Amino acid sequence: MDKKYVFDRLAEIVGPEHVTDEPFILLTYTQDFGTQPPMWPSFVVRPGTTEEVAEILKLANELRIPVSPRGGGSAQEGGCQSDGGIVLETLRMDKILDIDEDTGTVTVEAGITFVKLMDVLEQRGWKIGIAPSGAMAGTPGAHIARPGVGWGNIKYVTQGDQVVGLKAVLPTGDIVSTGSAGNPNSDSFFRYCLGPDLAGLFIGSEGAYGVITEATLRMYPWPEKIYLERYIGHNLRDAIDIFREIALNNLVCYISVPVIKPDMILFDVNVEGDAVEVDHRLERIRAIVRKYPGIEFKGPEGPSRFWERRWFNTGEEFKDGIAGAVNYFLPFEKLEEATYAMRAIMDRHGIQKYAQQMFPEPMGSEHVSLMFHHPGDKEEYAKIQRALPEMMDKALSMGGCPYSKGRQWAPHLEKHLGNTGYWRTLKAIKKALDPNNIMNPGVVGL
Amino acid sequence: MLEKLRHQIYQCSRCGFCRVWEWEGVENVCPTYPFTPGWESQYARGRVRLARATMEGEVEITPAMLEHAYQCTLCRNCEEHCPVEVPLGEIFHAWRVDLAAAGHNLPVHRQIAENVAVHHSLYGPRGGRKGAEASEPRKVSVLYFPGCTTIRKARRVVKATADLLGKLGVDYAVLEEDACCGYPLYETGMVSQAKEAADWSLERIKRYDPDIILTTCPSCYRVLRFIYPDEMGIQHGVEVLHVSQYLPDLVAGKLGELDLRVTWHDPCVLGRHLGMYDEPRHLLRLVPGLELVEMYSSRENAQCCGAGGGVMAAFDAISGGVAEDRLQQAVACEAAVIATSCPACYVNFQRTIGKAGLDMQVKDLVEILNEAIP
Repeated sequence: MDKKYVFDRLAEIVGPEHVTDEPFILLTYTQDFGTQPPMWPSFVVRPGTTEEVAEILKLANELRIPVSPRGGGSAQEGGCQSDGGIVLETLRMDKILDIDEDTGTVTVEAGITFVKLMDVLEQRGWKIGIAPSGAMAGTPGAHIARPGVGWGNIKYVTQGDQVVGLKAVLPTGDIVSTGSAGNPNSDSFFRYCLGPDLAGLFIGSEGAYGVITEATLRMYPWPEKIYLERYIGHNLRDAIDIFREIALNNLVCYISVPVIKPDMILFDVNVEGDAVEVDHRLERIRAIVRKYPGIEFKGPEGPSRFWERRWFNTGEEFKDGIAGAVNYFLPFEKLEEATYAMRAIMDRHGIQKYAQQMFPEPMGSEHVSLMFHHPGDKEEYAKIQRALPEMMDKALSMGGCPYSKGRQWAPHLEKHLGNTGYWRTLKAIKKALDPNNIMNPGVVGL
Repeated sequence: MLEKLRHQIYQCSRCGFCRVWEWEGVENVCPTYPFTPGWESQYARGRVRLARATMEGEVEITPAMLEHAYQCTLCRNCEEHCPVEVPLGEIFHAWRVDLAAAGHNLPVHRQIAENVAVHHSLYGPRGGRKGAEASEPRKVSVLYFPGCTTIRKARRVVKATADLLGKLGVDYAVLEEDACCGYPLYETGMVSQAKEAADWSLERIKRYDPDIILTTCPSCYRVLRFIYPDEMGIQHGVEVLHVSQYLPDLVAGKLGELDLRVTWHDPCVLGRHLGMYDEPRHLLRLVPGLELVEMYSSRENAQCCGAGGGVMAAFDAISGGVAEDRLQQAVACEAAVIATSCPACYVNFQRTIGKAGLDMQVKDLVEILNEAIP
């Protein structure tokens, strides 16, 4: 690769101030929020428009240079890393393009941070469905590409479920609007229309099929009442039964289970709606909980305090260090087994500090294992790196399905899924859309 | 220096919460980031990584990297809003100390150090202006130490302070001759040069044998009060007070009415570095008729003016951009006056108000108090 030639061509597209090959800047783009080993890109480029993204991808396709999109760099699985290619950072694309109170949708550029978006909406009496726990740094483009989950998992499910339409750039530079916006005479207001759901192609593809540059998400009137209360249980099976019953009856916005220890399961419920609705839902939730002996009612104070500063507080759990994360969905019936299995692997490897958590969905739950270390602690890092593959293999063997895969899950997905029609179809789509394999090669396993 | 902070450097979890918020009274956690091209290395997360790289010899230190290091105002807003409580201010200062020790400075900061060494002022020789020669030293109760920026660039503050002390019947003198406290050299990493400045200035101060050294500059206050004894091993034994600590009892009951809507800009050193949020507000509230209103970002969340850390000297456009951003917060709360008690903030706001054509006045705390006492 003639680096000067590539630099000059990129600079022609975005302006010289928005492209760099300075080693000291590249260093700061070698990792994300997780434990994947560093990878050095050759360039970082910061486009300001969809059209600039298209020109960058055309150039990359012409010169066969891999491109890895990056939002806030706050995911944990190495999805935004690049080995010798271009990291395409979307943070300059940070505008709210339209708040449409007629259709209940908000259209944003890919690189706006969630907190900024949510603050603007809240001031106007609206909210989005899914708020990621990393909302301070995270962006919709990246969150949809994973696709992420967050506060609101039971009522609103995942960020993918909130997508009404996307604008994305294909590896060849073509610009695609999905859903109703596929009609050049229409805006983005409906997802499943005209033809197959092309938004689904990009949701979860982690940039392997293209770069999301704009997203239209559903928004909802800010609820009249938001109420939280906390419980502590001591029997994991009982706790999971409670989560299932609450979730299947759709009684909450979300259940958060931030602490799962052998003898303690701490969980918060968040109920939203009008006052009568919230009170009614609470009665039903409490009736479900009362069926199980030994569940302690801890009241609203703790979770309400957390909720007030929720975006900030989510960062505090990383005081113990950067986390190797193994997160995946499982049906309710498998959650207990998974908790013990993950714990056994972490204990066997002698992991010093770890956390187990659940964030239930309507049909099951996200199961989370976080293994903390400070980067200077090479011994602990090595233990985590040994535990991670075992945990991912075990999770997939149990039927676990990760949402955020990045480079961390890629070899394991290929190993477990490689001989399936699903995998062959993913590969076929990849080949059709990205014949030169420039788009984020290595993520997902593509 | 960085080596001592190795554990703290490794505490950074790379969450990225130190970039922008636009939530709960915090717009930009890093005030300068929006006025730079916006690379990772231009806010705290990337800077911590580069500090680590410097400590571990991972990268070549280039002029461009130095610029990114020195575009930080050391405002400590990132530290205040770091969920894992990394001591970012300390790390970024230690980084500068190590860089400077290895001979890596910005040319403009080297020039400032030379100015201080030769002329005892950041700003070099005085030019043609007279009237600021040393008064005949005598034993005084209070020696007002204005500091370089106040005495050269904010003369109205010197005059207001002298007028005020006179009206209050204080036995005082003003150290009118050039004397740098050393803080600007300290914060740009040149600690040994800062100590030389400290020695020179203390020698001048001691000629007055003061009971109290009074400052209107939080940086002078911090270095005289804390950094000399704690970090430079200088025990001068004189009580040091910032005006906001010294004046409350003296002015109480003597303040006349001022029909003024004022917002208080917390200087980063006075606020986040020293925790003095209430003292100046208390003084302003003593003025009858004065309405004190708060900006979107205040107290612990206060946005920096953009001048600190050597940024105003080295990066004029960034510094001005940050100042205008902050001034727009003052405009938004419909204040007539943005008040502060830091000469760097004062100067940066004053020049930016002029450039941006804003309908806003900047006043030092002592100017307001002086106006309120007939």
